[in-house]
Amino acid sequence: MAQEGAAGGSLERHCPTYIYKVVLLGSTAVGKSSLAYRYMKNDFQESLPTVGCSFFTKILRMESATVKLEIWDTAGQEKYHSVCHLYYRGAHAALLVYDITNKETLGRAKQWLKELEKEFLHDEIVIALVGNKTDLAEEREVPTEEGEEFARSRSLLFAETSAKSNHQVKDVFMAVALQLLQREAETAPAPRRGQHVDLGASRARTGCCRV
Amino acid sequence: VQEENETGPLKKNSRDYSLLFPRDLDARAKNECYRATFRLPKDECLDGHTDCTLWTPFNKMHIPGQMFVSNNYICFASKAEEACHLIIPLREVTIVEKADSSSVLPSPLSISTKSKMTFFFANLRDRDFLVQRISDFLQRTPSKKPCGINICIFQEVPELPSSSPLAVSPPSALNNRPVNFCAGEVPTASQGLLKLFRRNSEELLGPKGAKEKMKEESWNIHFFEYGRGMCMYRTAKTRELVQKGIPENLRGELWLLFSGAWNEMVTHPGYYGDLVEKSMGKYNLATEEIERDLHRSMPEHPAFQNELGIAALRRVLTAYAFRNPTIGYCQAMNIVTSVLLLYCNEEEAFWLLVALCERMLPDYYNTRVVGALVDQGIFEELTREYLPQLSEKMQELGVISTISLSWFLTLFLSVMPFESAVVIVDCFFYEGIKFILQVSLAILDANMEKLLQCCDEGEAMTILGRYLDNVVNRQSVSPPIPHLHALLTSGDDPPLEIDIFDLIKTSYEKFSNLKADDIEQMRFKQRLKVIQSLEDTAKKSVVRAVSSDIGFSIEELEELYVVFKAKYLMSCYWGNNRAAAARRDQSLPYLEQYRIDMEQFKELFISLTPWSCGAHTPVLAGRLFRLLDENRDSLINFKEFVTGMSGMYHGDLTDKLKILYKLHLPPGE
Repeated sequence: MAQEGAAGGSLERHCPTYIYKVVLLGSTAVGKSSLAYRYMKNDFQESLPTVGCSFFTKILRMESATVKLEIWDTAGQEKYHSVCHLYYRGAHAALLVYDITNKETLGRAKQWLKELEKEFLHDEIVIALVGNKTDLAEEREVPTEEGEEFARSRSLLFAETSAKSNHQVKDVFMAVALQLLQREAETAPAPRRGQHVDLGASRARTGCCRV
Repeated sequence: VQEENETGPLKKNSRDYSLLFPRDLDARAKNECYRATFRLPKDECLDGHTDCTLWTPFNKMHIPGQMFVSNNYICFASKAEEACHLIIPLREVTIVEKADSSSVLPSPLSISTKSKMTFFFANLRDRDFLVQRISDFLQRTPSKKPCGINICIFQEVPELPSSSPLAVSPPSALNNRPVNFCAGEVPTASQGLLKLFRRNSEELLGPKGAKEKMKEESWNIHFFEYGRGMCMYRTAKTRELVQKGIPENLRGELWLLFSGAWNEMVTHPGYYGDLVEKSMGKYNLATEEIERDLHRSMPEHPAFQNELGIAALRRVLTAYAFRNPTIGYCQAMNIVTSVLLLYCNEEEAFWLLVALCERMLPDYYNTRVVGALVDQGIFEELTREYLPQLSEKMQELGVISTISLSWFLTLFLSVMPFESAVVIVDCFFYEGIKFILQVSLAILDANMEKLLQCCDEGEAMTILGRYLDNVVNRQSVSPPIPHLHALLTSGDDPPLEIDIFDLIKTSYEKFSNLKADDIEQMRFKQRLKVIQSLEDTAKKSVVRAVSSDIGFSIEELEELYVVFKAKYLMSCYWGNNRAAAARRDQSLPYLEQYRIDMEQFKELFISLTPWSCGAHTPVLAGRLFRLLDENRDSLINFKEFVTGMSGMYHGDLTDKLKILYKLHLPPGE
């Protein structure tokens, strides 16, 4: 999992920093960039279609740890599909975003899931299914239950959000962070995949001393 | 071989090159280089070139160089790269005159144009032959006839014509065109959006306005000295002015000239209007995607906060998608086109978009953005060469491939404040892709120390993102447009602003020895690499997708995939079945991209099956094919193919019996 920020100074010894790479995937115009923008700035605005990718970081100070989320927002158009693997490489979590007013976009999110499943082992990545645009309730094409049911069947996190009216955006990122931390705790005694946490090397990724 | 689809429809029309002078092997390369240097249309074909001198009235010299002649243009490039470039469209030529050899220099030739400019060449070997070729081409120049201008080829005149200093073509030359598209006249048919939405900017009165006026004045002087319009002498002085940022009022005109879009526009009158009419009311994937992006192309600019601007953008993008369905619409085109529309009318913006998509940024907006990946590969190669210590670090971080895609695809418009990025666009239209590479290197160079110290990709992304957000244009007379991206990367410390003109200057000082020709060569090499790696990705993805419940190992599957794909491709190229090419739709998932029909399957079956049974083998193959073709479209994909193969090779006895049994039932039978 993420490199654990070994204590940079004695003060932070009990509050490690974890850095996680979170990638946003989904069809064009489902609101990936808007979710990121809402989360970062707590505001809404029309954004340009993402070309390639954009990148943001957000720091969460939680009780037991500090979490730095590196959010990679990807291009939704099919033409950019072949470059997307550049961006989800090494991700710790993925938000599969669809638009509740457009049934096709859920299908596309399911395809993304398939692709991720080929790329990652189940316990290597936290995946959340996110139905965005709940503010457009009257145009809804995908019932909440449908998304929820699918997410349950594949053990994904699930949320319906609205970047526009600020519904559950923070919560979904928080849920992802919590799940990541929980997995960290479960695997802490024996680092998975035989990786040693090299304190010297991972120190570099520590946010503690510089954040 | 694989990717003929990537080159767009126009490449296929390019003629068989039967060049007259350069019979050497690299004739084709020379031809491409010629077109790229002078930004000529795709179908232009170099006929030959010859050494000569050109009289340059602005410094009263005869400068040595080469004259190039092709079916519609005469061009000149000086030996010293910076000294002078000249493009004379034959449609503009009125007189070609063999002047008297009693002049100072031997074999003089003068060429005059409709705009009353006269160019003097000399030292032409084979002058008679050259004149013959030019007059042949002139006679075939279509745009001549309607104009009713007599072409006179004077064979020999007693004296050198009184050297008329070049007359300046009327400044309005570019603006008075009839508008014949769309039902009702729309303002954007004749004007750029900026003129229509000029916000009452007091900026124009202040010191910035004065600076802008001075820039305009410099260009006016330049026009007076070097000519205006297509035939202007292009010199180091021109570049110098471009680097200072083209004044807003001249952007449209100069972009059209430097990109060569002007040539295509005037030789295709009415083309855009017709396309708009034809494409109106038609719906497909491209129009659907365009519609979705119209309001998020330049949302912060008042020009796109109303139906006038949006409709213009819709028409231009839709018309392009209809012109070139191979590209259709790609996100990034909307961002670029909205900027074009600020400074140009619709038709002009359309032809600029054509120049970008089909010549200056080849294959950028095709399926899988191959062209941009190619130039990104070149960028990596150049980084290795010019910034070796950084290159190693970047490799480790994997940043270049991650971040630079949008730099290329949107010419920095999506990553830098608009007022700054538009100056980059100015230089790009003048210099070509070389400039984008040069600036990209300068950006890495400026951040070298910070980048060397970063520990992960994210940190490097933040450094570069913040740098780009803070590149400012302090001379801009337009009220600033909020830069969307900046809001996200702003940190705690006050940002350090970078002046766009400083950045450009540095990029020339440090990296201007990049040569356009070399870059074309590199594109060719990178292209093969990129396509190869995309094909590898496709292969891996397909093999992985089918590998479960199949008896073959991954290696065997990869080999089978190669054989399968080869069979498909062979039929595209050699078979009489041209439909096979149409069968490949690159927007489909990889697995569905290559599919074979029964005849192809039979051939594969015969060479691969363990169940060969003499004369009956083709019959068996046919039956197995029908059995495998679950959706009955008479085509099978790789998965269906290997399922069949695996049954024969790896099924247990019961499975094999089952298959044999089924082969005797419908649909097999």
